[in-house]
Amino acid sequence: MKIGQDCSIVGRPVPREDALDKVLGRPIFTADLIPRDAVYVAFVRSTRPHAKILRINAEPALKTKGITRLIGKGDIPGINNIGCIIPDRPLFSDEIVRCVGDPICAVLADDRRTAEEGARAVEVEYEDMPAVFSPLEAMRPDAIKIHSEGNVVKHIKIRKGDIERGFRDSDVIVENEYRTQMQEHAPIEPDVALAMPPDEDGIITIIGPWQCAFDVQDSVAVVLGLRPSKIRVLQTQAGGAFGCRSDENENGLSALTALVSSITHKPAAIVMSREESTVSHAKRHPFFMKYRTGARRDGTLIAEEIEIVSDTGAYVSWGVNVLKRATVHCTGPYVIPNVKADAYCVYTNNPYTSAFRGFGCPQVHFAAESQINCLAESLSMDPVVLREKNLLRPNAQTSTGQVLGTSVGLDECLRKVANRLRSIVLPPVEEGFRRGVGIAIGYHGNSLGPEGGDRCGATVTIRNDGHVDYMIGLMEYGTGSRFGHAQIVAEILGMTIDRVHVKPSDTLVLPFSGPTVASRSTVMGGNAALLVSRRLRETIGREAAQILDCSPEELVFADNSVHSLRDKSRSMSIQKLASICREKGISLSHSEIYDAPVTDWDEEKGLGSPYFDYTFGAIGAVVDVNLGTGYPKVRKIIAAYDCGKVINPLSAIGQVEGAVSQGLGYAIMEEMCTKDGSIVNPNLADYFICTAVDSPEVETLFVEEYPSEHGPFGAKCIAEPPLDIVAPAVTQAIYIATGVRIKHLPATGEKILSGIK
Amino acid sequence: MPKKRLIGITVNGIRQSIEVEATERLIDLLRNKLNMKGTKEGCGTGDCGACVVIVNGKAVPSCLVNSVTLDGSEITSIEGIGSPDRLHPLQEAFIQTGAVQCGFCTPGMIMSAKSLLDSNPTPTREQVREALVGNLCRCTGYGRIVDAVMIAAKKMRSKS
Repeated sequence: MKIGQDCSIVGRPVPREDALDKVLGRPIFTADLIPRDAVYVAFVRSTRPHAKILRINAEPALKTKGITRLIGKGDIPGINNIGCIIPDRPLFSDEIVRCVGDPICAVLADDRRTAEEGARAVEVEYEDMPAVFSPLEAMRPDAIKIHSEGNVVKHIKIRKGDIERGFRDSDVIVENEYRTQMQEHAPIEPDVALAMPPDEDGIITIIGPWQCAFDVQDSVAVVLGLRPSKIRVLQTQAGGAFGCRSDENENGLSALTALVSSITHKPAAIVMSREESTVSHAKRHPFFMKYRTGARRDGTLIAEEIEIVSDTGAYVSWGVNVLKRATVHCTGPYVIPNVKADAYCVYTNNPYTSAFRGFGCPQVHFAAESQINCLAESLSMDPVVLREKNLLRPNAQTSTGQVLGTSVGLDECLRKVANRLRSIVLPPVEEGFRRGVGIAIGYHGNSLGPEGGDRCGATVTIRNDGHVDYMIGLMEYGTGSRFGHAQIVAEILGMTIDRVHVKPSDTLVLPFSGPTVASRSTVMGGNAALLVSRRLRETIGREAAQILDCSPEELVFADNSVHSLRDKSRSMSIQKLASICREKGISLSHSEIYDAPVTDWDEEKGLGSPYFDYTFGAIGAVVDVNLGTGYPKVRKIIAAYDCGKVINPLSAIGQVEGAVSQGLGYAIMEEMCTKDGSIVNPNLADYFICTAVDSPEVETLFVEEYPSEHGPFGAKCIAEPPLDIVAPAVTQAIYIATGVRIKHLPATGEKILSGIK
Repeated sequence: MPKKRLIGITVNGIRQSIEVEATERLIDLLRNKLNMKGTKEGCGTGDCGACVVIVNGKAVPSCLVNSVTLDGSEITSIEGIGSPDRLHPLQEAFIQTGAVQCGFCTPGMIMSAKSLLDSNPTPTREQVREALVGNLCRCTGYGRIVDAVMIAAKKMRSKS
């Protein structure tokens, strides 16, 4: 289907199919599915940031009524490791704990509370070791080593142009340091897993809200010493994820429950409390960033030099990939001829950090966009004009030397936001408040790029009743992107959307789909849906053409039937066609795998074309700062996004609004605080996320005139990008209102107030 | 205090006698004893609102309610307000406006909204936001949820 062709379902704000289950409260989440005879497991976790385990005394736990046994590393039949990129993370600590919360062993009971009590009763004797909590200190040559290879896991760089000359040619140079905090995903559903014991074929079924079913399958197989095909992974609906169900944590929960179910021959479940869930899964990497930016007097950007230190905590997890993405995007969406960037992924004894919506982009966009605002001030220029002068346009070259194609609508996004901010009518500023307006722009590479092999499979089946089942190994964690795939399938097969059903994903029957990360679902999954439904259309088209006595090219698929273009009366329902195919022994179940366009990233040179597409956008924030408390009340957010063709506006707007709310929390209130490596606010009473009162009214505008050359129907990703630039827009508004420049997130009332005074 | 106690409660219009443990939370009674899984546990400390049900006309987090105290009470959970064929106007509006993403907060959110509309059929957007302040949603940013409640309120007014 060509771009611009009229669509009947793609592009429409159709309410999603799974919403019905959710408003009715049907049992669709993992904890709803735990059988009554399940064994409950609870981890015994380290209370020390860095220590040798001298002795584990399980006696007090085993004396607790209801505790059936202890499980430790000695019970692991395979390999005691669940690391994502490198094998640095055991399921159960191997003599040494490297952060607070490291799993040491686990206890079993018939109910959740007893298991938790039992876990608390296990006594662990430690010998404390020196610990390091600052990644800057951990980088020093004399720092204690957290893993044998040293603390700097990875150095990633960009080398473009001649940085020395760039600064010599600059009339104005702005230099600043920025810091961002650790952020918690806080999905409303705490971590959970369920494993069913081996069936007659020895297959263990793992049920959970996993983002990466295929990674879970492989990881559990390693721990259990089984072939991956002996592990079946079913993804349930997830009560939010945002990245925290994509790494070692999901591998660990799956492996533990699978291990217990294989030992006990009973269903095994782990249902975490909010606090344990918060301690258990990764956080967003805190970044320490130094930026030096040079420009000519007319505002033309000439040079930017950047240093980033990322605290990956005690384990790498996806930390290297997060830093790759951060580095690629570190200058923001601008044309800069001379760029030098050095980024370091560093171990500390802090809780581990990993994937979180935005994946390194929110940190660097905060710094890069704050730099532009500082530069505009030095040049006495309007920051919007400075951005217009330098931003990426079609066919422009990015900071990694990538020459962009035509799908670049950034200019239009910025213009739309700036215009809307001028025309919008807002309530007057209340007494005791001061108002400021800020704008930020950003870009976000679609799908995995340099972060891994990128392909995605999907399966479509036309049933005998004329209904269509769609299956993909990407999960539903709230975004609705799988429903977008269903719209694509319906569009291609000419079905009404109520005839296309998204089935739960199951690694037993599905082709490899890759992980549900990197906002890749719409682009990669959508392309897989497009590919497979086209092939299915060809299959039924061949039959239909024979029956309707026309060529396959003349067939029109619409309204659950197919007719000849020349003679509408020559028509047949898909249901009838499906029956005929069944009689003739023609399979109407097809699977296809979509391969991502080739990308390249030369790590040695620090240059390349790492992503095949970028989403672009602009966000404007109107903020009223309370001069008594410093609290920044966000009155309005305007977001304009070029995500190519919008497959479902209802879902896409939902993604923008949700990302804005999560980005606003990051900007002004959210901070996971640690003391000596221990999280001090692991609950929703002390860790604040935006409530209905904190979240502003958001107005979303889409720029659809720059469709992707690769995405299905010209679509690009949208789930992550808006989160990237809320903080710089809001902090700029705060600066305009108060003169306080926040360089260390979050911009809490306390910080703003101390700046005003 | 005896370990177990028999209480009489009305759940979604059905009166029943149930034996409860001395420390049994309402959420566990609903989910485990009555097998009604619509009420979700997000924090267990009353901070997130995912487990909100209506007890004697008031929206409360069921993780903070001890079942023993409920003798003679009337409880409404998400299972009690609509069915696939006859959705409650709030359920309908949540679907139509895109107020549902992951859906984990949805039952509690709808119950808090219902409690608001039961007492105030004509809320402003600000009043809706204030009434839902105890119900956290990490997916939607709340805008669609406020839209849904306003639409449902209008529909409920026109019906009555």
